[in-house]
Amino acid sequence: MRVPLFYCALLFALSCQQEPLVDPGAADLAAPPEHTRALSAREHRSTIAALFGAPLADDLALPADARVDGFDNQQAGFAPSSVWVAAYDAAAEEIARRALAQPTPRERLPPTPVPTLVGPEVSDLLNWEGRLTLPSDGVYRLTFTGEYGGATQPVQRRLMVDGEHAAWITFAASGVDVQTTEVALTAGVRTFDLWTPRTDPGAEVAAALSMAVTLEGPVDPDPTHNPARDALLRCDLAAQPCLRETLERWLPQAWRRPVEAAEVDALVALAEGTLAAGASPDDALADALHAALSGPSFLLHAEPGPWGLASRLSSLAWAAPPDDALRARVEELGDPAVVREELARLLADPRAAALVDGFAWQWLELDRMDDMTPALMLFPDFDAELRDAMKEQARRMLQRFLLGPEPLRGLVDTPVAWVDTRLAAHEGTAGTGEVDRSAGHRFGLEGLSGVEAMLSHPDRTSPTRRGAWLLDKLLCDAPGAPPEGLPPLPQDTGGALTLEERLAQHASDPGCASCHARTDPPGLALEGFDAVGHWREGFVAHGAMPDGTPIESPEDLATWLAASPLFEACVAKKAFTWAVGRPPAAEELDPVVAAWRGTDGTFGALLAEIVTTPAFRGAP
Amino acid sequence: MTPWSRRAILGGAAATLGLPWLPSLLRPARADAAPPVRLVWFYVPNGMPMADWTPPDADGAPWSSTPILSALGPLRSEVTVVTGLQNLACETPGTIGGHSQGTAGCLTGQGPVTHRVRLATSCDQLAAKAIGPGTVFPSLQVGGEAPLVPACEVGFPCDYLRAISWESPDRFLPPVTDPRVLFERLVAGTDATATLEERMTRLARRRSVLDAVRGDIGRTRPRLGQEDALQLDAWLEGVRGVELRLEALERSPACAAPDAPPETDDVTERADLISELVVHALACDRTRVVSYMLAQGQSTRAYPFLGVWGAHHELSHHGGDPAKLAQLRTIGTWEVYRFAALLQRLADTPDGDGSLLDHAAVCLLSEVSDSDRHSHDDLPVLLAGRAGGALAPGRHVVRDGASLMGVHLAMLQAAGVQAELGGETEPLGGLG
Repeated sequence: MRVPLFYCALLFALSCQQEPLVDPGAADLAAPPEHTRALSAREHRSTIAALFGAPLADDLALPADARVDGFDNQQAGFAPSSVWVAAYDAAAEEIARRALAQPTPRERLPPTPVPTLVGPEVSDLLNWEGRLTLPSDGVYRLTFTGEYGGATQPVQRRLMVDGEHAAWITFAASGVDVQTTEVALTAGVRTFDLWTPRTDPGAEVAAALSMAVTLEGPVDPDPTHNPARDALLRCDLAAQPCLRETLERWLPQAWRRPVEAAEVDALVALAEGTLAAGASPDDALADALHAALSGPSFLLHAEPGPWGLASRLSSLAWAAPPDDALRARVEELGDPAVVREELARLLADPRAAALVDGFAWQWLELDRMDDMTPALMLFPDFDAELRDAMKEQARRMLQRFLLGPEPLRGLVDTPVAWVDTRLAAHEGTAGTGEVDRSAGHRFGLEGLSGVEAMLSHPDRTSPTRRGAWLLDKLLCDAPGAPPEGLPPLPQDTGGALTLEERLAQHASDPGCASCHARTDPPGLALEGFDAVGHWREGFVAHGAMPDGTPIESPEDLATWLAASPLFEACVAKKAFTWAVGRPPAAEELDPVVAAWRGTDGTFGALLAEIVTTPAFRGAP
Repeated sequence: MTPWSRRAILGGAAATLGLPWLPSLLRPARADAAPPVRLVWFYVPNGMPMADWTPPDADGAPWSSTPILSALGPLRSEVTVVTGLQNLACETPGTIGGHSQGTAGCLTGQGPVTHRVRLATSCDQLAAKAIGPGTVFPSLQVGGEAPLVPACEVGFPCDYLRAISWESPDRFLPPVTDPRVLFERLVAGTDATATLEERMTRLARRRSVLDAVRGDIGRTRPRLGQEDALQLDAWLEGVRGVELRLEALERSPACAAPDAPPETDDVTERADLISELVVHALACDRTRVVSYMLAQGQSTRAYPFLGVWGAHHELSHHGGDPAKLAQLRTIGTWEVYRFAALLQRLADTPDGDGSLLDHAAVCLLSEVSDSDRHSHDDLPVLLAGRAGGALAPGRHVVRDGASLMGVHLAMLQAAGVQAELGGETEPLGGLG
């Protein structure tokens, strides 16, 4: 039975029986409301940043989180391994050191020529590239001395640092021109790239006759304060009660709950032990912070009662600890109306963007956009700039429907999306900004060229992959176990058949057909979009959605999705799973969906129903 | 918990030299003892085009070169090619996902479950528990590909594709994939300029911090349900592991720090830098057990520097297409070159009366066989090194239908470890 299993999974692990919306196996996970899960690495970073007012953990190496049912914050993923414990211990030690560090003068680089990567003078006629090791973090001044030939107008170049946009540089159309720019950079080996943007129509013909780049810095003054230290300390650590006062004030924020005297005593005793061994007051407090940040009080969501509820609420909306306003209302959280009010307040805050970057990104697997490798020979207009624009487009659409006042179903059928000049050219839209794209057959998320591209092969589309994504992510209709006894495809194809022919042959088997009859139609409805999301005329799809509705175009698909109760229930299931940290049992999900139907249909209204369930609120 | 009071040590730090426990804590490993056996598992994803892999030779004979194995070059006499092995035990009935099954099962002989993270203790961790204690890293997990986007197989948590080392049925150990992070980890706490007194003070402080964390765990535990409370017990074990590592650091012989690896995006360079650091850790006896995932299960990495632009996994469904098979051969050869680079470094490193490779057993394996069939039989397996004399490499060993676990059990046996793995207890014969 091994071989048939694989063939059913030919293009992307798919099989042929419908999995129920609520996994029967989830029922025994539901049990009494337990809320223990660890902070994910993502939550850890943003929690540390909120706690110290500085991103002290952003560059620390933490082990990859378990990804259960697609999410990094699941209760089923909580299992502290030796590697996990050691990594968070080391991270806590480093964070404590950084929080208390006194600013020191930085090593500086005098004006230094940046060596080119290829060739002695100009690495490429169109794109100059160089590399240099920087001694410190800070703002550096780059001076470009260049001359362009063949230009009829000023030449625009993008300065990329390690592949990321840093600045625009404009050179005179003729003659040697000197331009400077200042850029914030981090220490280490940095690669600089003067890059020809595709948005500049004249740029392609302008080649550099000469280019020399020098760099110096940091040119900004050395910091005189460590903001994290300033936020932490309000007294002189060398004075006696300061250590205890600092911990008494800081611990409840870090642990997101009131702290008992004995808990403060234990950390004060730890710090005093360090002092007694001859270390400095800074080291003493660092040891206490190190311990406080590497135990379960900080790293787990394990608190029962209203404090735990407050912490889970802010974690849901912001991936960060409760702010003062929420802390002030903790005792009122027994009232569901207050929980709703606070949720609405948190979602209206710009920090709620964390919901898009966390929940939505993981739900829809949008990280796959980082992994797109369209074949350059077939799709020469695809590059990092276009990919970044695609991500931004998706982010803005999700922000609009997850955090805005419109009903969530617009996420699958809105004709309006944000486009910049790159996307306008790529998607064939007139105008930039928030534009109506219905003339281009583009609706909702599934009409974003980035989504179509991430669900393609490097050199061709994959209706199966697109259809599987639609079914799994938007309808929670992921395939379950395959039927028994599927025949294998003949081994000896010898390359004589194309993939499409093989797919057709594969799907002509009744067993396999049951699978592809479900995955392919929604995918084929998007077949008008090629492997990078260009529209191409003449691709007519025939198929049907799971309920038999014929689907022949992106318009049909969007209309069907927006009206589908399956989509509604699926979003509710995904949001519940994210918020509670485990999938819902059927009897938990149904009331949420029913209640949500009675609201304005926004995502905020859905979350309000979820956070007032016993599963989220927990025991009072 | 250690029996003596932290405070006493802290207070007496100025007089550390006289403390009675110091000699045992700082006792170096015996210089005259035979070198320990080191075990390394080297995983490559998406199987191999087996026609370019399998040698034509009879069982027991030296093997003739094949298009992919030619990458082993002069190391041929140090490598045994084992063919015909299967790992059918990794197939969980009622699930699909040959990559998750094969990757999860390659060191465990056990099938993964859907929607949960639950497997079995892997062979490298069985070894780590037996021969790891006392070294700074009872085991190391390294990798050549950062955890990618979660295009994972339906129902299976992505972790089955991202890790092959499992220290318990619910705790996987994700690999370190950045050479600079691995370097930092290897040199952490090894400040050669620190005086003995400074090191002892630091150790005492670190211990006090760990004790405070234990206190936090103890206070949290009663508030949790039973299953979560058990996880806190595992956390306590992890804290003890950190403490043991700090102690082992003080006890282990001085070792020149490795060179800091340069920052690079080059896939080949990064893979070989990881190997270099692994060999350094083995040579210094910082660790004796390593698992190395050259890329993660079902890897979709492209290899443009080899002229391979398509994603590895997509290519691996070659359908008999000669162009794709040629590209898979190119990737497979590159992978074996990376394995050879690791072996060469081991062979070049003196250890006792021979080289590190003489005292190591290094296994290359993958989660599936022929990359188009993606089945769990006829697996590509190499076994290199002499394991202190327990292995006699350089031959083609044909064991049709035998379990892959037999190879792991043979490696464990060479290190003096008896174990059961996926229901198997018999080491594969004929390797010695």
